[in-house]
Amino acid sequence: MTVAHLRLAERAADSSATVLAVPAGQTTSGRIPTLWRLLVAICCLGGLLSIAVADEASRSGDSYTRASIPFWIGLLLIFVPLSYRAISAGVSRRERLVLVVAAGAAFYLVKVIASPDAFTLTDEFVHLRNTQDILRTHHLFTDNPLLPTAAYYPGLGALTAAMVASTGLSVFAAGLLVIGVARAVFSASLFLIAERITGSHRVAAAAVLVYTTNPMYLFWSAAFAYENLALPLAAVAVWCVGRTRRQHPKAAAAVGLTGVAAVTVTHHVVGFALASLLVGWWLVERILDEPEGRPGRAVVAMLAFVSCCMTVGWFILVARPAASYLLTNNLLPALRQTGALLVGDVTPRKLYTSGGLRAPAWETDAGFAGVLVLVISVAAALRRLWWSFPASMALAAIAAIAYPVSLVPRFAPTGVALSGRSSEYLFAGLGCVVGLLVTKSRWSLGTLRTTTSGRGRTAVATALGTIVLIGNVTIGTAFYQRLPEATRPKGVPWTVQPDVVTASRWAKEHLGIDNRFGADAVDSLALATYGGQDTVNGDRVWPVFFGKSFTSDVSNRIAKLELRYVLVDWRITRGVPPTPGYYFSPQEPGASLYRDAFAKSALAKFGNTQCTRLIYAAGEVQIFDVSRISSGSCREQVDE
Amino acid sequence: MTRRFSSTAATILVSAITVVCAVLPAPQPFLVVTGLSMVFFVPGFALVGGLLRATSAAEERLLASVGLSLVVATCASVALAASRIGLTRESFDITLGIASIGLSIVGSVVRHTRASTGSVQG
Repeated sequence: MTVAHLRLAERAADSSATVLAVPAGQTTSGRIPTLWRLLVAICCLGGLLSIAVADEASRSGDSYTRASIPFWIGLLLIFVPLSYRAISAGVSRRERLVLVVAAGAAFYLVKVIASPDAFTLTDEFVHLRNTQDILRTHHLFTDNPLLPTAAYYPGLGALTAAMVASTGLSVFAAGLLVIGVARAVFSASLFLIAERITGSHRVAAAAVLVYTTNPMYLFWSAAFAYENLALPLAAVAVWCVGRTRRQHPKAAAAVGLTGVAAVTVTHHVVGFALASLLVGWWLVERILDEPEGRPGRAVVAMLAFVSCCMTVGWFILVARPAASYLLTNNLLPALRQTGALLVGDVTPRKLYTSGGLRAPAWETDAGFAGVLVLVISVAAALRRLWWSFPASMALAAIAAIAYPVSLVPRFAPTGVALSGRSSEYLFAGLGCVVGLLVTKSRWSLGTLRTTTSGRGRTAVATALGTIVLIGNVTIGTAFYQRLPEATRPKGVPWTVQPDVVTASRWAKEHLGIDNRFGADAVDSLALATYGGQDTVNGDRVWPVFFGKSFTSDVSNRIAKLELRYVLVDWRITRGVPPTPGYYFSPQEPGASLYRDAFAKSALAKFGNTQCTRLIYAAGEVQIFDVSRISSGSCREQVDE
Repeated sequence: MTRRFSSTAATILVSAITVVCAVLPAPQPFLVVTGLSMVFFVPGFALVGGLLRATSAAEERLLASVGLSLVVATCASVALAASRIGLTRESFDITLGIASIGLSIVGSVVRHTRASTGSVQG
């Protein structure tokens, strides 16, 4: 039964892209009804405008409670009409494809509107530095002080640098274009893959829309970061291979190999995910063992093998810092804490609180409601699949089943990233499974047809999707980070401030690049990029700042780290740090548990010794030359 | 046949212009157009000719063109930066331009071979 099912689906897809199972009530016409087109366009534009108003209010210092109202209205204006239309019966395949790509683009613009003139998210600075280094040296693997691993996955940096060199655009403009186009490619690829898997373009549209509700999609997945290029590259390669491997196996293999290579050099986790997907795909086909599918299967088998070898080979032999970054620093602590949580050794993390700030109460309810809707939908969809399980859905079903499990680490103090980041992968399969619910499907052996009911089902599906979207947006990003920071932040800033950028540029101009610098976590981002400095990792530099006076420990640490300069930002003495809850490093004492602001005396010590020299001061930013301490020439005069 | 020939000719023309612009001075707006087309469209479009059928849906051809261009441009830029040549405007534009011309010609040959052997038209 499943064999025939898969064969029919693939025949349909292979013979022509436009003749995939067309359920009753679905039209194949490419004309988009003008009224709907207008309505969706106006709502999307209105939604973006509303979000721009919210952003501006936030910049001018309005409270989150007040400024967030137009933000949420804007999101609903974008999502609701577009989703309703995309999953309605009787809509053409082309229109659905355009709508899901538009959804991805509109959500991408939400992030662009929030940061219209510079990169602001932490990871963006990491890749800005990578790109700058490639532009400067014309070669790879220059040390990246912000994240050493990133230098060994240079796909995004090299592509952006190539574009900057070729067009003369700024790195910021080129980066926005690369990630924007990649997102459109990803939305379209996901739609076409889901269509091949489920046999319905209506379900495929629902699958992509469910994907857009994943917690990381709105901001994290729109950032200038390597994963956000690698995922689209993987998706388009998978689609191309699936689409062409039976007709042109050699060409499909060549395209697949190029895709695998591009993903391997761009992002570690996506590389492993792609290898796993290809192995899973091959296994499913191997178990089915269709004689007519053997030529295509050989392509998948070869790609799976090559992908495993390339990903593991690059990870071990080339990207040497990656293993400790990924496993020792991130994955294993998260899994360990999750295990400890399950056996009761660790207290569950307080959800919706960060740096002493607490999200509005309704957001907690929305988050739980969104997860509940999604878990129930997964259960309902899997129950439906149970009776006539199409083999093409096997991997998607595994991803859907894994979703509730992936929520558990969220309760562990260091498991948030693992849980959140896994959603970017799991939602691709989960979307295909949950998407089945938009049709009243009867998987039929002979026709693959699904019957559809009326507008009521579409409206309910849209409403539930909206609940999931709102819930997951509240889960994915701390509430105060959904809107831009105030131009004059009252507490500790969570984004790079203009005066720090100015100081960083001054340092580059007057001190040169690649000097050993100590600074807090946020200011290090500016120093490493706008200043081109060799900032010392917060895990190692925090003791230099935490000492209340210039003890021998502090001066020894300065000497050991070979620090030449420290940047002091007095704003950290204004309050407790927001997400991720530390000033310098998650290893500093009190990280995530602060109740009091950073001690002023700890910063004042840099100006109270003759061994340091103040070389820059503007407002609350100071740069001290500490090279006499690091060289050992002034240690005798240090006040113990 | 005329349409296919036109698209192949256009691909080769844009690629050739990009290669020429890499070694000769050109106004920046012109560089933006050629640069963007080389990163986001031309190499993939050249590949699609030999990969997808002419009867494939336009949106699929467009996706493949843009998506595969990103794939090719990523590989090319990393390969250049990893090599002794280095990643510069000249090396990138010339490499991608020549690759696109080569892919266009290969695509045309593949299509012609398929048509002449009576197999499924490419």
